[in-house]
Amino acid sequence: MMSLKARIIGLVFGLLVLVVVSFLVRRRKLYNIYAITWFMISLLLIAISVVPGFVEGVAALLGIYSTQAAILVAAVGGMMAIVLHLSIIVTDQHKQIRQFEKELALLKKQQP
Amino acid sequence: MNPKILVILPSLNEAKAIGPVITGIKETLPGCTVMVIDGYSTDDTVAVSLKAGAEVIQVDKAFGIAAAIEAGILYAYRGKFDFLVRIDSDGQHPPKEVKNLMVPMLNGSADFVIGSRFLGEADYSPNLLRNASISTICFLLKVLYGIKISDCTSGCQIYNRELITFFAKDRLFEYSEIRAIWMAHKAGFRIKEEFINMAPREHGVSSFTLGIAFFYMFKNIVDLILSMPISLKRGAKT
Repeated sequence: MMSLKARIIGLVFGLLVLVVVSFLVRRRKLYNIYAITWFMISLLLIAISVVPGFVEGVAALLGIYSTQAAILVAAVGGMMAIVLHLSIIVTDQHKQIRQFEKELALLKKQQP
Repeated sequence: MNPKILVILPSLNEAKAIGPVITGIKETLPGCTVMVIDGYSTDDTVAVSLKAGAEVIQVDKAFGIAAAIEAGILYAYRGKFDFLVRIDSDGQHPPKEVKNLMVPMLNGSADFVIGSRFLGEADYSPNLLRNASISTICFLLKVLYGIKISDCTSGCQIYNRELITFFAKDRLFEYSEIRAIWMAHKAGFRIKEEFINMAPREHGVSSFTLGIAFFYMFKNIVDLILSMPISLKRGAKT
């Protein structure tokens, strides 16, 4: 079981992520679709801190018997999800830039 | 009524070779529109092309030849062209022979014609590495899609109006010689190969160097395998 101290730190940290992401979305520094992953992470952090035995329960469900290992697996998995999400965003933006380049090329057509 | 034909010539530093290609194609296909799609050449390619009577657009080479061809497809689609002819600007495809390739297009027996250098005796034969990459990709096309093509990386391709529309509108389309072939095949378009001679290169250097050759092959094979049809039905729609 997590100590009370650790749970309070987790809760504060989760709330902090939530507040920062919310702030960035309001200021249009972060588009809301990109904020989804961060929103999920903050919710997860809060759930871990608030619900007693959450990590242990999930770990047991996955057949992992050490809590530390479960947290590590979750962290790595979460990071990979974020990186994949970022790759998708990069591809999307490259597509848009390509489209602009094509349109621009056609607009700047030179006649013989 | 004469069909509206657009000939696109993707080019990069081909000032020495492109002039005769443009005049040759204009003689072969009277009344066609020739458009040079230049990747911001550092030589006089643009000036030479304009002087030879071609329209010129420039698509930065950073976006690759794919974006260049896609711009051409977009232009053909919006300009309501009946046929789009894509040939290389280095003069390796004799412009006169494009007429033979137009035959199945004009009589409506094919939607997509590929000029293959392997269907007859071409003057130019690619080196070992290039041959190996071509046959690997052709093999994969055959196994994965049931498409029998002898020259799948040919830079000489002709599309009809329906195919131009398909490529211009399909969100998943991104040009590569190979992707164009299997996407057209999957959508049920009729593909036909005709022989086109290929002359050895006279001027300049091919952009297809050793490193690029490997990258091209790798990219296309990964693309082929990752976008493989889930059901491995051979020659599903033809």
